[in-house]
Amino acid sequence: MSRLYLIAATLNTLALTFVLVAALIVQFVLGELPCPLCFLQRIAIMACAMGPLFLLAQNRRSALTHRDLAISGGMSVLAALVGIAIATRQVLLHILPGDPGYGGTVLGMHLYTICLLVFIGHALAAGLMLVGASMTESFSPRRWPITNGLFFAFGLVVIINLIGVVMEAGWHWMLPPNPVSYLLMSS
Amino acid sequence: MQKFSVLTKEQQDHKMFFALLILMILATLLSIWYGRPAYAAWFMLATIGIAIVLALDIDTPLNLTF
Repeated sequence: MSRLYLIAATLNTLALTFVLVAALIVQFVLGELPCPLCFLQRIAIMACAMGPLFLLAQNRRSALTHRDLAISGGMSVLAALVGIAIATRQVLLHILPGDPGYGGTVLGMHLYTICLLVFIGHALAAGLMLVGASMTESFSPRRWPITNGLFFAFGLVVIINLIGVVMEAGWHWMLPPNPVSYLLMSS
Repeated sequence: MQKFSVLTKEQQDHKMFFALLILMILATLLSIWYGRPAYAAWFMLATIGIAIVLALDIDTPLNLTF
């Protein structure tokens, strides 16, 4: 059962890291600057990853416990709910007929629509993992060498995002709703 | 592009807390990695911060009378 949870946490973290990397590619390769709500959704995705990463980190120290699963699931659900609120807000901003929406599309969906689906999927996954905890009495300790790499990769993505937000906003208190340039460079 | 949007450009501006929020996420990540109990406080600060920034953005009056 430990293995199943560790696989789920790993896949969960990888999926969220992939979404963040894809957003960075859209920003830096395709040149599409993220709006404030887009940035907020990225931060919520980072918060979502804290749940599965917590599970992986606890497994490094000792065998997982039901307490660990509860904390991990709680963090995941809280972050996903905040993310759902942000993504829904942006979907509603562009819901009127004729509104082209903000930015380009991937697979026919705007990035904020994809984010909404990611947050809903994350909440569902966390719920399933919490319910699944009833199927076992105890967990056995298990080596999971990929943990270090996952933490490093995710930390790197977070730091790149931090640099990205400082580049885009410069040292200004306000960020334009439709950014067209990196304020750090242009001011 | 914002032709059909309800909010004006000024109303959609955000307060610039993003760098601080990402720093809180980094603090959570480091606390989780080192097994420090402070991860819960950092995580809650970040989550509440995200919610506050979102709430500051919503200027549209909610019609909650039925």
